[in-house]
Amino acid sequence: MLTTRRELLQRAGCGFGSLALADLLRAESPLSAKTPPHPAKARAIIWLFMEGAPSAVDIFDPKSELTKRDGQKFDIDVFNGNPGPLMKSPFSFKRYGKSGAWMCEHYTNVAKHIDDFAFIKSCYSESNDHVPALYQINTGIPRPGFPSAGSWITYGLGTENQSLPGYVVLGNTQGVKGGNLNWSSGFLPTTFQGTLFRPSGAPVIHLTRPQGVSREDQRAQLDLMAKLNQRHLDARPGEAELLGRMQSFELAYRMQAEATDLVDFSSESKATLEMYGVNQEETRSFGTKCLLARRLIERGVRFVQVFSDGEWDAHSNLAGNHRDHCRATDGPIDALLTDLKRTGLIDHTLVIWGGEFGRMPVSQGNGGRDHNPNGFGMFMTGAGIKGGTSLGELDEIGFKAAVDRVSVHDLHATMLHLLGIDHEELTYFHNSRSYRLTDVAGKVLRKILA
Amino acid sequence: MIRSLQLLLVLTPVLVTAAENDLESKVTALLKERCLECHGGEKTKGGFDLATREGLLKGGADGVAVVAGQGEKSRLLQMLRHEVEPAMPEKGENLSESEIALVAEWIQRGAPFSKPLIAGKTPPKDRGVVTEADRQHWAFQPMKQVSGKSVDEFVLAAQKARGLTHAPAAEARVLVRRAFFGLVGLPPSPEEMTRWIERIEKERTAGLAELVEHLLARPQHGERWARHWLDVARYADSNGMEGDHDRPHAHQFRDFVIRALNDDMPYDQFVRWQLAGDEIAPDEPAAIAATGFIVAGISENLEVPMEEEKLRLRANELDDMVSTTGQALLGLTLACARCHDHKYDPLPTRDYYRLTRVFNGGDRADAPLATRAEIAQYDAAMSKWQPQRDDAVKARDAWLNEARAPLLETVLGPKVARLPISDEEKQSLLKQPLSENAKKLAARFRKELRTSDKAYVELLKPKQRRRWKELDDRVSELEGQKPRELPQGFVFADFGPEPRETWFFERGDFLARKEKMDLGFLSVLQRGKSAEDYWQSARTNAQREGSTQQRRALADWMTDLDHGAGVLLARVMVNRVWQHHFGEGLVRTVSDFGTRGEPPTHPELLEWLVGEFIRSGWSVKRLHRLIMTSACYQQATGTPQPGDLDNRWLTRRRPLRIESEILRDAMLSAAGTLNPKMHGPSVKAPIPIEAMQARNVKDPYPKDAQDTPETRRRSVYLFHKRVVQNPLMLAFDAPDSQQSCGRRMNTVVAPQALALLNDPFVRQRAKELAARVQETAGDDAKAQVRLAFHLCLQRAPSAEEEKDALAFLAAPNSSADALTSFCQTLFGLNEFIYID
Repeated sequence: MLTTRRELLQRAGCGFGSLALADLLRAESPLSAKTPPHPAKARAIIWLFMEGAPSAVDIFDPKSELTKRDGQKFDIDVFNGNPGPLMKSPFSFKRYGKSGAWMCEHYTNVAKHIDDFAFIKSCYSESNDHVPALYQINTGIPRPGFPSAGSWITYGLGTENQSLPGYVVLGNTQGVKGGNLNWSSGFLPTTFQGTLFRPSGAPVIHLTRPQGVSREDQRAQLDLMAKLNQRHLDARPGEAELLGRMQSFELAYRMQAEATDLVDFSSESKATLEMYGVNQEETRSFGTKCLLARRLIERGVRFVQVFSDGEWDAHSNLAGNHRDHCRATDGPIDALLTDLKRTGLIDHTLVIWGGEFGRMPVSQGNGGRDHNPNGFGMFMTGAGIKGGTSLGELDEIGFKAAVDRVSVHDLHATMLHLLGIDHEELTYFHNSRSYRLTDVAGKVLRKILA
Repeated sequence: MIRSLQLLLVLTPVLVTAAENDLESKVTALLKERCLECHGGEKTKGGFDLATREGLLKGGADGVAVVAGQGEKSRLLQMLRHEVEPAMPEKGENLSESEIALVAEWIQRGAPFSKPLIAGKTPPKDRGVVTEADRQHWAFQPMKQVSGKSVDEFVLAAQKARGLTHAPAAEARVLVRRAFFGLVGLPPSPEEMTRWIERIEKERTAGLAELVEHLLARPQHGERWARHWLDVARYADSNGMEGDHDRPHAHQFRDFVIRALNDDMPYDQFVRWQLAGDEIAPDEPAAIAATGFIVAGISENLEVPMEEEKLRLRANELDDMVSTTGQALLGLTLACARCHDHKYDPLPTRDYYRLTRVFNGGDRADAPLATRAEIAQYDAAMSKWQPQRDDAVKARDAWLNEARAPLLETVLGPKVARLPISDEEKQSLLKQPLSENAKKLAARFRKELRTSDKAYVELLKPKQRRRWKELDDRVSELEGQKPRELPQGFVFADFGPEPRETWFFERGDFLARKEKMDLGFLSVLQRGKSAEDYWQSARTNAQREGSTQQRRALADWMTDLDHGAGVLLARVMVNRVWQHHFGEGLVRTVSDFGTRGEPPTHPELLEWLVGEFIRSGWSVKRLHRLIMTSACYQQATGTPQPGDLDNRWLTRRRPLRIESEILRDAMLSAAGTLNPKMHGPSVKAPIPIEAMQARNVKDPYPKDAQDTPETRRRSVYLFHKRVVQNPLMLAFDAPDSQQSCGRRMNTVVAPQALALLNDPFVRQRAKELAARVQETAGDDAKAQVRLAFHLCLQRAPSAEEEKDALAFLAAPNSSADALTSFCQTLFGLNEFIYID
């Protein structure tokens, strides 16, 4: 185990074990950065989360057999019923780079980085329904109430900047299905839950001071509180939790400044802002979040999840839906990868692109596709990833993962591996058993590792 | 013949030839080198332990891997050949074809094993069978008679044995505050403080007993302790998942809990009603509401045709019911037995699915909370009233329809003129309203053409108007006579008298039906009475029809002290009550009494309390009295004694942090704006829009909820929307109500500080407190500080504190009100949130 339960509880100030008093009072924060137990390629993760489930066969995994059999009937049960016939992709594709990997006509800027990508084309999960699927891709379990990958990672590794949360979520402007349970710490202490950052205004909830209260006023409140709390503590030696709580107010005070500074882009060059597309209607939202992701990673945040806006949930008019989503994300992703390379951050940052499941090869309604957990694709790039590779295959029409099937546990195991954690060793004792992010399964996807 | 030969191969070690001996040693060497590390050596992955022949043949979580005598058909071969998942071995190179052939041949020859692969290793225990040895675990044993007189004699004995002593007794002031927060979750007023301090200082034992009695009798007691039970029952006011539909009647369960605790309902009855109140006492509305316990977990209204998703959902919902029953009532982690026999506790998967059958007989339902006579009366009244009222409406409308014919053009003319249609169409609408074309147009522009009856009535002739009024009055009169609707509850109800077919799912996979299940409970807690016996008696004594009586059988077994789970049920509850008074249970793993849980620190004390509890008729209030009047409870905080740093031996009082709800209530109480109204529908208090992250919620949480007296009620009445959590509550570790929670997290994190500094709720209460202080103490800063201290900390400030506070108030401030900021600072103090 990386951190035993007892250690953890002690650090969080919940229990005392048999540690000496002096140790308790020196107890470090549960979020302080820890050395990974195994060699690590990555220090941080940016997960570009394409909510609503994008279709791989329409973006980077074209299927000629599907084109050939366009319009044919296909026996299949789908989430919303009434499946149509097989439907070819509405998009045209080209091969890019030395690797000659495919990319659709709307992701030409993303395609510039194609030789750095490892495609995982054979993912599968369980539920046909968005919310269980979202919970599964985030927590490993298709039900609410379990800790998300980001929580496990900050539990295992802490974070490098103590004035910012270790796990930041840049949400969907329209909200995320299933809400904040997607970045919940489940049965892990809430210390490790994801913190939602908004891209403008006050980035975090409870960050805006009450009306009329200045920073100096608040300083005075904290000073008075510290004096009164100190006397209270003096009469109760041995209660480390009381001291921890006093420190938490100071941290909160620092956080307010740090988080406000974070969303202030005035130090960014005009060229950078332009590159991320923050001044163009189409890319403003996602571009801002990508730029924020870079600024968060730069400041030592461990795990950043960037949600796309709206949803890729193309039940009808997939051509329009996916075109628009590609346009909103194509430039910003290109900018983020370019920027990470420019700053060298890419050397220790893993970037992941993907959604909660995929889409059916058959049509639904007017040119749409229904949900498909049987086969979907993602790609990874950055620290520890062997560029120009591809793992696994869907079947010839893109219905089910057929070759080298990759489970959600495998994806999580790989993420942890790159961070220097053996997924079987990162455990937490809860309800009489040791839990893992990968439950009782998961294998590292070695084929895509550098 | 062939079959019996195979059987022979399985059961008896085969005759050993030299060649076979060689084969065995080759294959076992291979297993040792390539498989053993993960399957029986350092680990036992997938529950597959091949260190012994028995283990090899038994298989793992995915089922049987090796059938002796059937080399080619054994799944192990397919895994080695990478034909099925999981492909093996997971680590290192694949086995060569010749190696695989050896394994095949070895299995074909009966998989001979002359000795375990690890010397001395014994075959894995079959967890599917519960043995006498399993029943020896302390928690599963029958009740032990322990004689004793008080909590203290046990606690002191344990201390003495370790050379430890009690801390000094806390002063009366500390005790009063502790008792108030402990029993009613609210601070005492300055007057109450004075009164009770005097009383206790005069006569400590009698005074404290009197205070405990007083607090137990206050209705706020039920509100405070209901919250503890609601955690365990994973209560919320909405479904959860994507749609997160509201459950407008769920609060009836919450009110049942509050009332039951206030009435000191015997705990066994409390449990029985929650499992089967509708079957046990069908004419008790509270008993019906109590079954809200079973259905309080997450669910989803999935309106899609896909069968697979519906089955998945149902399996998950049944799992929630079964595992909550196990965890909340018996402190057992039953969910672990869904996919395989429990790894550590004697809880076979078979028991899990037998228990599932109890709940598979019904589902969530909205049902009237009334006696059957009342329901019959209501139905009769409705069937009489409904046609009368419908006729009156029909008569009025038909008359008006005729009377208004000549007026149509006048009234509708201007509206029709504005429609974006041709003149011809307009004419047809007005002149031939009954033509097909006109009807189509009318339907298309229904909204635009909508006209109130009043518009016509005003144009009627006086005589006609009188007639219309007569007809309309008749409708109004009948509306006034509508039978009063019965209160509704969100409850569990059986589908009918016949149980539903229930299956054992292989590996927990709802598509892998293995065999049909009979009704059953937990074997380890059954002594001399079968589930069938309980069920038979439940059916014989059935109080109502239309129900399987399976839940009643479960309730009978659950509370049966001699043959069922009753003793464990009592142990778990006694321990929960203890935990809430001391911060830790006597069994610290409050929701795990299994073999992996911690054993009790004071087993005799626990057992004595259990005995007292049961002898008192399962009275929870009696437990409070026993605990709170003990010297152990009355200790002061202080320096930890060496040898008891973690206070396992109860050698001092540890300050206890109040929960999120009590923190909120305490702020309202100090501010003097707490609305004491009890019971009723849950209240939607303001939640910052930023916290509403969930998309596609079907009954969205209101974005414009205001801070009003109605929302300033105790937190137990707040509306708990599963996917829109109140950020103030969430920051302070309120449970997410996805699963049963017997013990809350107690984290100390910066977002809590941010909430206390910046949440509008907190600032608003500080403002109210400041106004209250100003009003009572006037402009004298010293008096203000004193009063604020009394209202927040239930004591006067020390001289130093007063000096610091006065300096704060006197310092130049920006536009913020200094007194408000001062009051808010008090809310942030450790002393405000930690009770000594």
